[in-house]
Amino acid sequence: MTFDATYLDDLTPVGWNPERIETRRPRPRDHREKKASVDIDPSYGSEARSESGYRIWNSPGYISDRLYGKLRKTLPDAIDGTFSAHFGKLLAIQTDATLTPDGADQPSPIALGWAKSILLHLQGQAMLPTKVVSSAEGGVAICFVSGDCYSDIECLNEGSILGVISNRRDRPIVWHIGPNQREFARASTRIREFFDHARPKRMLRRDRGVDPNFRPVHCLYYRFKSKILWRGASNPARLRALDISVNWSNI
Amino acid sequence: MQEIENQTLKPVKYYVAHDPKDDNYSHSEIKVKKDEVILTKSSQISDTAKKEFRQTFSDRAAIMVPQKYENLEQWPSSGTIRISANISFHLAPLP
Repeated sequence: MTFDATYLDDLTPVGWNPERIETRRPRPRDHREKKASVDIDPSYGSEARSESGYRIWNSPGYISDRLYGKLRKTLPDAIDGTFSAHFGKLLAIQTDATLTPDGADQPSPIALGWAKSILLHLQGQAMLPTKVVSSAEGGVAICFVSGDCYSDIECLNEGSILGVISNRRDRPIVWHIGPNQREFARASTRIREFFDHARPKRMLRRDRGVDPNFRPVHCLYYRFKSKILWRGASNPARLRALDISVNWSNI
Repeated sequence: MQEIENQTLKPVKYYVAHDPKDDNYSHSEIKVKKDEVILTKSSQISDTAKKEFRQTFSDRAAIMVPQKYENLEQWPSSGTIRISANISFHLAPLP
């Protein structure tokens, strides 16, 4: 008996198309075990972002691959021209060892991942950093500079994240930033307030000497706590009697 | 200028001294002087002189009420007092 291939064609179901075969991933017996075993990897931070600024994480625990793929097609590219240079610098730090200071360790993937996540967060907050550099302590530093005010967010190789603000005169303030979006938001708010409340240049001393020319039309302004108020006026008993700090103004 | 002077003992003098800070050029301090010596400890000033200074300061001061607060009860925990810079005056002397 000879084998007739046309016989098989007759057995093919009507409308069957081998190109439409969909392969489904095997579902684990207990999907809760799979979720619990997902490692939190900072490099999972994706570039997708909704128009309202919400992050969409490319993580199995947050969104399915299929929905993520659709969103990637429909949503515009989140990396705009102003931030693209910083993302490019981050990529260059990852590949170019010459950008790392002498004696410092090459930034680890963990540090690079957190730096990318923070950059994405700053992009959502419209806080453009001044520069992104490789830290001398091993890691990545996202720096903000305006006049005498300096601030940076350092993502260190061991995974810790530090925030620094300094006015270049007093001792810098350093605090720990937790590895989550809420802590990123808190840190960006603190940095923004630090720069927004920076002193105007007219209030800076800038090598000016002491001016003893007080005039009767000038005024002193004294900041007080509400506890010194008494019956709508200042309570004399609550005032200090020595070294009262005031601000001098000609109006 | 106001003088509250005790004729029998040497008075203390309150005056304004410009004390600029690096980030606050207009910072000044109300200091106390006796016999051209600046007093740095509160214990060096008599209670009477302190009371007179406080009362004089309070009488001359004007509380700056921001427009957004209709009354003092709505105020936050701090505010501003304005006083004339011509604050130099003599108060009661040391005992």
